[in-house]
Amino acid sequence: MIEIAGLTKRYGKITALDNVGLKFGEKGLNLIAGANGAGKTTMLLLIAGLIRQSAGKIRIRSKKIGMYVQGASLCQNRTVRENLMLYSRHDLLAYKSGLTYFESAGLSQLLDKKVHELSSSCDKASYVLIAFSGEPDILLLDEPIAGLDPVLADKIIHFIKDYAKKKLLIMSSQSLRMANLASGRIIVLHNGLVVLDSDITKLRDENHTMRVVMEKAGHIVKIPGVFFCVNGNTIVFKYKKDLSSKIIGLLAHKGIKWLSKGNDIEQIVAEIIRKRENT
Amino acid sequence: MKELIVIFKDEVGQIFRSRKILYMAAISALILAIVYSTKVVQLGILILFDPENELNIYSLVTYYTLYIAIPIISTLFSYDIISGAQKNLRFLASRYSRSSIILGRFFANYITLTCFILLITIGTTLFSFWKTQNMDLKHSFFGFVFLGIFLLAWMSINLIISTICHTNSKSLYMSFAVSIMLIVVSQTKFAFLSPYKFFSHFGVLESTTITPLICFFIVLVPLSVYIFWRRDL
Repeated sequence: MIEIAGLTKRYGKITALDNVGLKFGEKGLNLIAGANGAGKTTMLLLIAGLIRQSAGKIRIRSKKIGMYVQGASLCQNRTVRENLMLYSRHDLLAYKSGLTYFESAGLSQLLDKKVHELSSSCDKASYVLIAFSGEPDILLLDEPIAGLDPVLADKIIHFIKDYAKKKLLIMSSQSLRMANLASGRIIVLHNGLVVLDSDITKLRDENHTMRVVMEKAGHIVKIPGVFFCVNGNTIVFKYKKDLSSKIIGLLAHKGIKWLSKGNDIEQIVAEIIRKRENT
Repeated sequence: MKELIVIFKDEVGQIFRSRKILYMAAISALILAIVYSTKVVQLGILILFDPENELNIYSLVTYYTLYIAIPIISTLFSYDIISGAQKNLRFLASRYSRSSIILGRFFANYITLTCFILLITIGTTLFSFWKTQNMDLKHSFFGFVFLGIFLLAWMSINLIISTICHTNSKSLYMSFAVSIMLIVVSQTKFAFLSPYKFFSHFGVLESTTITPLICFFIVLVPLSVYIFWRRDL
């Protein structure tokens, strides 16, 4: 669906993207990750045609693109419904599909409110839901769950996962919560370069890493075949085959309480970026 | 075309919900105050432009007042067509072509303002008929056509300023500065760059004035579309 070759974008002396080449298929979830300033938003803006590349080519086979981008906003002095209507180009089918997303998310009550009356979380959620309207062939979402309350974030994640089963969805995110909840492809950008392009499941299988934050510090858990590193009340486990359920089971068996079970993908990505910075 | 019509309708709706409608009301009130109450102005206009007193004084005063007001009105209406609406434009540009956005907004503002001028012209014509029993339709019509074209030239100048500037305040100051600068330019050898140079007396339509004014539109609007098309949002 999308072919990118030698894509470069410069803002003055800063190179936001440097000679990036990627291909995207007809459907599936593609997660673009990276630190601040890595080039995630620039990549999405370039695909959407909102900014122009300094060099390289982007070939897109469909013109039906939906987008939520940070730094954009709905029209403030209109109601959410009017914004939806405008975004759907007054196409009744697209408008109705947008309404369905609002109903499924339990946010129908927002439709007749003016955008400037909404809380920032509802404003953002409305915009993200509007981006789904008309079911575009390519949906670009820039940090769609950042700043949303947990309930709304869960609903949006649910829509994203469903949508990626039938259409192409490219989303950027600093948080890799999505990567731990879904399968698909992960692309990690660092200083404008692609440092990782892999299937999420494959990555998880190849790099078994889990971070567990304990309720109390001082626990040492020894499991054959598992390396661990303790930092305060956080333990990072590294293992060659999938032993995560065994580790959690063992912690429970020993009566050790943990506050959160870490994101292994997040750990892997952080490791990759760290290595890249050191080189 | 469908996209352009959607943007056009949307922009017209926005104009009637924004402060622009208040500007129109204020300017109409000002024109009415000048036309219907100031005998000194009436006398001055008579002596300057119509010494033989052939034309209808009310329509004449309205025409010259609008002529002076158009650079200001057009600035108030078009300074924010593109500039300063970055967030909103990103939202629109992800679904609409850029040329539809810029042209839809331009024509929405232009046609609304032209309708406003038409309403003032009709109002004045009716008022003068009530006062003098003389309905000078021909002169009023030509006067309206000239003002419409004069407005088109000014809107085109302001559109390109709005496309180049990145904030509303910059665009507003630039538009006012250019309006004033063009008064000076109209007295120099570069007078052809100023719409002030191409003036028609009330009720007179000449190709020497109309054609150059239309050229402002033909040159500046496609140029604005091109600049907007090339611009990062």
